Amino acid sequence: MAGVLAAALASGCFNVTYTNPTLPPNGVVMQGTNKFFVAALVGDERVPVYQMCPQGVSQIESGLDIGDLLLTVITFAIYTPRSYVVHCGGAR
Amino acid sequence: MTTMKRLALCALVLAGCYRTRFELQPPVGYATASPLYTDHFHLSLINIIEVSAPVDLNAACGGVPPAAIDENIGVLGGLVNIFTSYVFPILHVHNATVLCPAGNGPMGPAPMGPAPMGPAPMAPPPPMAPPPPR
Repeated sequence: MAGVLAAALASGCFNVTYTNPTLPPNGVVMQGTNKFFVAALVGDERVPVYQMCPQGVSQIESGLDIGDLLLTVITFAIYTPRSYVVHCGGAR
Repeated sequence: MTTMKRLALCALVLAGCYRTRFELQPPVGYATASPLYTDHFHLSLINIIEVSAPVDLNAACGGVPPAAIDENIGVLGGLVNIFTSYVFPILHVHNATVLCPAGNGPMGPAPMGPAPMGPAPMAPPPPMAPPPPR
């Protein structure tokens, strides 16, 4: 169990993945954090992915990374950020 | 149960939780929810290890590039999370809805909308016939 947890922490802890298998990644990666509050009860965020990746998206990972987890624990879940990583697709 | 817990539970049940919208196309026009991924349950262990298979964006709209992704925790997911995530932090549920461009979902094109407002163009009236001779 500890090994799985360590592997998850090392891999970035993202827990929802959206993938487009027909569009290979072109190496352009965009990251960001959405801010939510009160155990993620409060918050409504929009991420303009089409501006980040004009030629399309290969993969989006969304969830908690290590920093998000630490901030959530330290603030007793008053501040509950969630991060995302966007892998652009198509020609670079 | 304390008041704070009751309030949190009510808010969770009534409103769901956070929402993130990943806009894959400029937000113009009307988008329809994909039948494959509408409030799709996505499971993760202790909120960090993904258990469910990734959401396939290509299949979601029948090969058409999707318009947006809504990620949230719906009412049912919130109820599940109360017992499987917040009380015993084991299983966490997220809901994902893929939005397809209008008329391009796997179910086929959407029906046409109503006709544009305003009076229908009228043909010019025929020229008046000359009065009959007396």
